[in-house]
Amino acid sequence: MKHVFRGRTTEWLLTTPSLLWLAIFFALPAGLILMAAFRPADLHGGLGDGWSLAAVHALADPSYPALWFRTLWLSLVATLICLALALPAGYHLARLPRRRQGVILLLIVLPFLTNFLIRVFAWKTLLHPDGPLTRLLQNCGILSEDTLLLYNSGAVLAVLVYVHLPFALLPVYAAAERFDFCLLDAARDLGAGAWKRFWSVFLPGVGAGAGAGALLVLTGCLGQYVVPQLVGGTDNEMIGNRIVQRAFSDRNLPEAAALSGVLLIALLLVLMAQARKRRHSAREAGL
Amino acid sequence: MDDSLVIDAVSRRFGALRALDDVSLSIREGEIFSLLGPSGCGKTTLLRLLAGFDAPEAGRIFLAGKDITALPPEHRPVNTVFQNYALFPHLSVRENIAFGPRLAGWSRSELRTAIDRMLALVKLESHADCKPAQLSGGQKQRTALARALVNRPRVLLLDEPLAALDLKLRQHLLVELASLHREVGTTFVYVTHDQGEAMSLSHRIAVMNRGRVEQVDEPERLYRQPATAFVAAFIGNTNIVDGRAESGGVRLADGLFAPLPDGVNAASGTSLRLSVRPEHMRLEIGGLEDPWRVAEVVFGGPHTQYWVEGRGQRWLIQQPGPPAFARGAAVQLRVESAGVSLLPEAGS
Repeated sequence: MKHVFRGRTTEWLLTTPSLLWLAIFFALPAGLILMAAFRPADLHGGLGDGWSLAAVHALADPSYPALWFRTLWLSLVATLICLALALPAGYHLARLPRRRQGVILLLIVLPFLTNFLIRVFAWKTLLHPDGPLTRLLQNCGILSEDTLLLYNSGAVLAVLVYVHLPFALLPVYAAAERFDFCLLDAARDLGAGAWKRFWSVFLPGVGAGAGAGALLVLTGCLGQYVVPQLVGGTDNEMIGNRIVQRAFSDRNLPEAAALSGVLLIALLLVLMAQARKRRHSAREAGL
Repeated sequence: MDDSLVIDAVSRRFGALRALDDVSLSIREGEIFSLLGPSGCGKTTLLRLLAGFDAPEAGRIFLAGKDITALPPEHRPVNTVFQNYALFPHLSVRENIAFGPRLAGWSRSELRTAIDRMLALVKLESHADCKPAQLSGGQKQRTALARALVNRPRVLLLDEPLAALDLKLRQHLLVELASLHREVGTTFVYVTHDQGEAMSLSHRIAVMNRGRVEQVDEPERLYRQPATAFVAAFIGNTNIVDGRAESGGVRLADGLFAPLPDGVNAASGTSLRLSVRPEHMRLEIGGLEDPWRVAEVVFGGPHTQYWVEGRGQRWLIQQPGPPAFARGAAVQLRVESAGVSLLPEAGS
């Protein structure tokens, strides 16, 4: 009985359920979306018969580059801010006593019990021209009367960070929790100041967690459409908004599928690059 | 020799626990000085104070005449070999060693020569580009040594550097450590709970117990003339017995006579406490009228240990060679003066 879980055959048997899961719930839908991009649109908002490159050609629409660019920079900046917050937070969290760690983790996850839309609406209320934050800042003289906190890219960025922060924090915490804090003592002993210890020892130590967190945040941001729609106003659309518009307003599924396809392929490339890097560093570590 | 590191009346408490209680030590330039004691004796706390990771509530630490008590670790000319080595896992052996010198801003050529010299010193030339995960325990330990020594510290602190290794490797590395010290000449402060390691490596040892220093001495003197019962029992095996002085020696509670070594005198009639080393006791064939019986025989290779009981006293005796007495045998005991030392707790 001891040898049941050994060998190539059993390895395949054991991975089959997760492979099936991936195939049915990821590969198949992704394939269908990519395929839909090469079909003509029909009048009822569905997919027509035969094949067409119309949706692919439509990707050259002159309004897209600016939209892609905005999507990309908003997502990248949100990811960087999330990391910048998650790294020190994860560091301090991992150094707390076990019981306190549990309480704080619970507090971090708690907002997830509230519906996502409601949380974003709460921000809308908070940043509203008649909202508490605007009033407070105006009374303090920090904000002039005609400046809005809402409906600009700053608001989109703030809410993107708020929504995605736990996705960065939890992997960074998990890595920091396994990090050997003795290494920081060793670095200090060798003459490293606080910044040097952070950059040269802590960051490489939690690099895998930070990478995973960054990827989760980036993926979430790139596909985001609710946040820009609710707090971004008309000038801060992201590519997700255009996909929604193509699918539901224009009733042109192939064009929506083509845009999604570009996003999908871009993310897959990032993922593959990261997997490659991880394999490389695992080999270097002699594993 | 000059005193290099001076610890002056240092105390450190953790809540109600006195981790270090008024400890004063003077460590000489270039010596291997061990802090020896059981876990919780304060030796690791003292090491952390010397490295700068912790600060004492009272007392001062001087290095080469300068007060370094308030100096943070990154500015102390002191480096540490950590118990688990704390090698940076993402850096190769060479990069680990280069960590300190790079921070100190050494030139490229200076760095290269120093690292090559270190790699040769710890015999890791062929592993220079390995990551720590690819090294054996002994190689990790040598990397940690090189990483600390390359900075040319005034004092090298070693925190139980052999504790994680198996016995054979430990003995081997102990010899290597001694020859490494001869080569670099740096002052070593070596923390250990293993009296064997401390005895074979150190020039001087401070035996610590409950936050206090019990005795500072050379290994041989620690063994021959323990200052307290704790030192006598912690360094090697011993029998601690009470008696009353009479001419030329001490009459022990169980009637046995122990001669005092030359130069040690006690006024007749005073109560004394003695340490008697087991290898300085002789066992001879006895008769049924003798009170001593062999209770246990433990064969230890080049020697044999006997537990002998009689008149409410239990003696540990060590004789060279294989077992010569069986369990239950009646024996006579004799104490040699060379194994006897007076302890201060007389009468208490």
